[in-house]
Amino acid sequence: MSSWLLKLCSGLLRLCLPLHVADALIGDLYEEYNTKRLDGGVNKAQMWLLSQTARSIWPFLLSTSYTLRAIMMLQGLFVFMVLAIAIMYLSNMDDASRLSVEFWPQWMAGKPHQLFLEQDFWQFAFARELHESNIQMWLNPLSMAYAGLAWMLIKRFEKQIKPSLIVHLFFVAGLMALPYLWGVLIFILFQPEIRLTGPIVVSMWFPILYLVLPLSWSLANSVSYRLGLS
Amino acid sequence: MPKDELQLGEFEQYVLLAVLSLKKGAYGASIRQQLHEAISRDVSLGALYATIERLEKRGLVSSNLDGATAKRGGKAKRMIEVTAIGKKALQRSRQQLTTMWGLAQLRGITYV
Repeated sequence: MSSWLLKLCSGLLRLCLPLHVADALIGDLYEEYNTKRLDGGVNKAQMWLLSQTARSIWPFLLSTSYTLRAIMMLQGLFVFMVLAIAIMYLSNMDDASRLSVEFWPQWMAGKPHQLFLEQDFWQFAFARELHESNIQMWLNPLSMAYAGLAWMLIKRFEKQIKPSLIVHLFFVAGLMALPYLWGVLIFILFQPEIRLTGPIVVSMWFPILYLVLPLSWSLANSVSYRLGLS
Repeated sequence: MPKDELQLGEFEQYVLLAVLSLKKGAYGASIRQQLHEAISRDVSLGALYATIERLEKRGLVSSNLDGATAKRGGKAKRMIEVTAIGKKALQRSRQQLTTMWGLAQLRGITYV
């Protein structure tokens, strides 16, 4: 039993910890386990072993650059996927009445993000619209130009100003949010007809779509470097 | 080296001091036991190694592998030593604490 438990704990640790740390740590675990087994009995030693294994995994899961990068990239990927599906959903929508009656007034008030609160979007978008798109739909020259410019500005800002992490995050978030706020302003100031709102929403969402993945990667690297993890 | 690099957290100081007190015999299990016996801190080996990794990346400790035995399942010990920079960082932390204690006592705070 104890041999089986030791192997299980060692396997878990080797799976979750960097290998150069895992080997030495497992050796320490064996050494202390054997001492505790002789001093206090097998049951006590096994309880200690399980508790040490559980407590030893999480500091590395939380602190390694790999995990941090993975979490930040997953967040970016989630935003990217939701936005991409929303774009496909709206591009292929043939019946506007599928959305709730409250949605369109909100849309006209410059709140297209209300789509993410719509039941129909979450229920059907994934299954229905996923394959109905072509490559040209994803190319928006104006948004691409903005995304390129924003990327260059961010890189120059990083290099020349060397901002603190908080300032860096605000700068990146600000540049990503700018087209969105600009679009909201156009909705409020000009109150365009509904047939003209599509391109405005495109200019609000596409820059985020283009920027979110490279910026997530860049930010993940920057955060792990600053936390001394890379 | 920038001064911020020498700034130490409370647990980092404990680990460095434990390593110094163990002289040539500092490795994961012995440091853990030392912390338990000296200041009743029951730390996990994972938390300890995460701190050692961080300290090593900052150049405050160095390590080498040694002493694989059957009792350790054939795994080598990771022997830890405090570097000159690590000792400097500890001295700086001690000076800072002494200064702050001195200030507190000047203000008449003697009950702690």
